[in-house]
Amino acid sequence: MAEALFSYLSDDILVSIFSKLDGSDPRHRAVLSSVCTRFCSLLRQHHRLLLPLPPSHHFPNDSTNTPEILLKLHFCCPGLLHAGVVSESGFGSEDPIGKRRKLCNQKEHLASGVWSLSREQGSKLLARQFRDDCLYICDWPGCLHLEEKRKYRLFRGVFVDFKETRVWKALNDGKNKVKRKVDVGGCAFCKSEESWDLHSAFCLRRVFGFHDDGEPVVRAFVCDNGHVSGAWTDVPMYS
Amino acid sequence: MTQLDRLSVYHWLNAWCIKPVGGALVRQEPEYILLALMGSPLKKIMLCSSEKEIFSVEEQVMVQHSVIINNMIEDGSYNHEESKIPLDCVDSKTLKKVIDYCTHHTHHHNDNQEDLEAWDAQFLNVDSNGLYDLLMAANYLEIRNLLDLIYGTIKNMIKGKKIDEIRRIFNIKDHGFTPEEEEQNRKEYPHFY
Repeated sequence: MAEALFSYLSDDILVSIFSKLDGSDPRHRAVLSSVCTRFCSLLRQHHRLLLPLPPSHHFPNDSTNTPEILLKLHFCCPGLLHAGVVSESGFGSEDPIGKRRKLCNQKEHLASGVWSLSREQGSKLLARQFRDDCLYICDWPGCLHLEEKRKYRLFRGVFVDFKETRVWKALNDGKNKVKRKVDVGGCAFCKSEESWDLHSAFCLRRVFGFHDDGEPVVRAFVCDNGHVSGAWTDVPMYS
Repeated sequence: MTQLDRLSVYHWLNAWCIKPVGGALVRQEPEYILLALMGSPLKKIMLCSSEKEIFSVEEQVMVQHSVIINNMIEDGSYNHEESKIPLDCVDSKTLKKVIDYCTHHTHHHNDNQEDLEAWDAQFLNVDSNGLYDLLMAANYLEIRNLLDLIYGTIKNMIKGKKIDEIRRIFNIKDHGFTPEEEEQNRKEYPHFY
């Protein structure tokens, strides 16, 4: 297969070949951009070719939401740690599960489920007063994690213009600011070390209640750059 | 007949070119009917490979598939009595294959999709050198459907492959990333290497 000839293909032929790949599968862009700098710059030039990337046009000059980070959001599951399902210590008053786990299973990995993000899914998550904020979340069913107690469907997403959102204002609202910050081992998508608990800040829909053991039905955490990691669980059959 | 707008005649013929053959209705190629009505035999043109070998092929076959050849015929730069079209960047072996492709697709365009696809798959069952030569020829002659077919084949060669494998396929010895960038990429997407 190692024929020298294919390295002589012109840019427009390469672009034509790339455009034959399924644009909705984000792996292609991730793989091809990493093959060589030539492929990488071709894909940047012709970014509409592969992968519609619904949020990308919202982030034209955003250094905290580069195309690479947005791409990662499509197919990288944040893992049980960053989604706040387990804590690094395994114990502690903030960890309702309270069990030790091997960290290597909790970090980010290739997500199962659908790899598209949608605004619709984001607006289903947020409480009504935040309906004007633009949040993209991966489509249902997220990345399925079967744990002893219950199933967790991990999701990830991103706010557009996070610092302009009502969610951000609510999180920074004077009195209880410190209590809303949590440690989920940093953001899976950027260098941000702190995260905010959207559930305890009443940013999520009221209808998401709690399980009998005190675990929230839906949890979500957002970092300073607007990257969201969280988990859905199945709603209890009885209230 | 030659005064009439060729395109509108084509459409008229397309709509009405039905003749019964052995009980089944068969569409006759409108171009052939047009030529038959004009009273001329099927015109042939001469293509000359880089090895100076001459290939005679039906004009309509090449005009239908190659934008370059179609333009040459339309603008009158090709003289049927004397000219041959020199294709200096296409060798005989590749030119013969290109002619085969165009001829088959002209004469068999009413075949069902499965049969055409099977034929195409067999047609492209060549080594990388052959595939590259066909790609260059199809690109030069601007044969859209052959180009698409080859793009699809190369796409299938790289689809789902890991980064190191794609580098081998394209013989990319120097990927251009700094050692730090390469290390960062490998850390970021270990499952893709």
